[in-house]
Amino acid sequence: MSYAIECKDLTKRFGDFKALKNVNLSVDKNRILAILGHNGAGKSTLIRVLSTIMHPTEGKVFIDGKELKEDDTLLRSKIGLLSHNSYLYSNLSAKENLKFYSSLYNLKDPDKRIDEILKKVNLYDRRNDRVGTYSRGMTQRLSLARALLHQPSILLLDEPETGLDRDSMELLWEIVRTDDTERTVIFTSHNFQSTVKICDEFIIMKKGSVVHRQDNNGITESDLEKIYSEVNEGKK
Amino acid sequence: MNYWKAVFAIAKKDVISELRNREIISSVLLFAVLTLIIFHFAFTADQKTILSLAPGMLWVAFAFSGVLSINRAFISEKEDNCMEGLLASPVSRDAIFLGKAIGSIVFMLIIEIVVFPVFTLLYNVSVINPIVILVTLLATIGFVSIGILFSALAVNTRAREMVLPILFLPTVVPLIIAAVSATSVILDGGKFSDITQYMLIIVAFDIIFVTVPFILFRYIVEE
Amino acid sequence: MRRRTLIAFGISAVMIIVALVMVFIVCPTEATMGNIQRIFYFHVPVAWNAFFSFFVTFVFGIVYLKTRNPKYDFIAESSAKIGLVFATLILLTGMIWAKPIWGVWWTWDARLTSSLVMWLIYLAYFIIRSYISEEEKKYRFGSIIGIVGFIDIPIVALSIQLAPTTHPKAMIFNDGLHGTMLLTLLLSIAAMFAVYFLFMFLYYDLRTDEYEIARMKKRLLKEND
Repeated sequence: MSYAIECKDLTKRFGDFKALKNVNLSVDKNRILAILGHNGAGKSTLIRVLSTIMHPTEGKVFIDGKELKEDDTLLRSKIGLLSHNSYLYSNLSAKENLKFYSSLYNLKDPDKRIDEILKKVNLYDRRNDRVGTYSRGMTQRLSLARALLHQPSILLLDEPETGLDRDSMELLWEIVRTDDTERTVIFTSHNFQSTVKICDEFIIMKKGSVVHRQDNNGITESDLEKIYSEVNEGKK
Repeated sequence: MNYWKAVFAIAKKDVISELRNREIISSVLLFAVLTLIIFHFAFTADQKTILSLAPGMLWVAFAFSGVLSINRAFISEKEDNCMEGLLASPVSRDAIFLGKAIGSIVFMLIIEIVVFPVFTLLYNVSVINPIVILVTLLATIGFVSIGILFSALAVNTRAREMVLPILFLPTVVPLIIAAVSATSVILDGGKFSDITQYMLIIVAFDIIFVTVPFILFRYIVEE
Repeated sequence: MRRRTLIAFGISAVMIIVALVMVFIVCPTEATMGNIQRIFYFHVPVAWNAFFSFFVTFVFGIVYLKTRNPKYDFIAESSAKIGLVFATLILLTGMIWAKPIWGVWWTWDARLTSSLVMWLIYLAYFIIRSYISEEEKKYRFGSIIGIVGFIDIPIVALSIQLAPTTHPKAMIFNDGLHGTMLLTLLLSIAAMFAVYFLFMFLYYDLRTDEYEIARMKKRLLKEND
């Protein structure tokens, strides 16, 4: 069986700065993987490369055993992405935004799917309001709806909790875990509490490399904190 | 086909989103009309002179309001940080280019629809002629297409709004020459067969400057 | 200074002297225009070279986009820089030539106008590069402008040529040009090509050195951190 995601010797260079250094990472299907690390460790860059927004300088990415190429639109439609930016147009309503993305993802019966996902993120009542009038939490929820719209088998979340209150955070994770499709989830986070609660395994990145990987077998928040600081302060 | 569905979805989204932003579209239209009005103060001319200046006046109005409008094409993506959302979706880069270009062509058409009757009304010179309109429509395609490529480039530089005109205006010189000359000939009572040379330039420009940006666009939006 | 630069310098020096001797001593004075016509042996080679420079920028723009090796952008940029200098000289010599012949410094003649538009496009090339802070993006956008700009030149020339012009028709390979005159012109063109390569080596080496120094500086700063 092939991995959901496999990175081989992934390197991303910005001028002389290496944001990713020979990253090798494979993730089994239907797993939830957390990526931890300081700012600038390469977490976001990795997510961006996996989502095809960014080209790796060297190395390859495989999705379900197939190499991910820029013009492979079919493979790209298996990926859902939630990042710092909402990717929503503030002049359009929630419904119009999702309608737009459903044409890009070529969904069959988009109206049904849009209503369904809007209900799931508790925005159905405000579906015709412009996104510009939404609060941060509502925008983030709609953004998640946008990422899940085409039922991707791989979901990439780049610090999804930024700026969210506790309730929105819980709703977000609940939706990610209970949405009907089987999927692999990769998320970056600074929040140890939700990380230990949600992930199946986690990796720690440091200066563009994956320096630690571990299964989550009932690890506690303080254990994780200890491992995290050991890895970051300890031997290079 | 899925490709064209995405292209038209992008174009439609741009048109709806920009029309809803009423300040922008009304400012651009007002600017176009103001250009026409400024001409009156710049040269107080008799009817005959106006007739010979008309094609140039039209194209100065199109070129300057076109720069304003085309500059907007990617600023809206940038303001909402949506470009990455487009890039991550299963749509090829050239489809994004075509969608953007079609959206901006619609805006140019709106400008032209306003400028033609206003010009006719203000200067009492009828520029509404089927061949003149055909010339304008054909010239609009290449004009917007190369403009969109440069607009995508401009939005990624430090001086956004300044970049487009200094690069765009010299590049579209052939279109402006051909469109102005063709319009002159027609307003002077010439026939379509008198402007074939100019039409060829316009069509050649359209073909070349739809193809080249279509190929090069991906190199601008990549990271 | 590198060896190839010295060689290019030697060749250009010799060729310029030969060309100057041809232009001012050997070549007969043109019948209608008189001595001022001799500027022709500078004006035309400069025009050919400007066009050639921008062609090099075009080719290496494509090569850069395909390979992403900064080296190729340095070639493209150096060539555009020389091209812009040559294009400026086209305009200046054109004006000097126009004054006694047509009585005005500037005339909207087809070829002068085309050269002006070409000059504006490559001026924009450099202005826009200066607006971009990231190196890689500077190379990438530079390549794109270099490609589009070059493709535009013939269309500009063609569209402008549809208007009536006072510029002398190209008559190099008809009987219009006296044998010695043709030889002088060809020698001048060759000399100008040698000058092109001399400047090319100088600019390119300068640009690569600049790049290397910037890299070393960055590395040193990092080590001292």
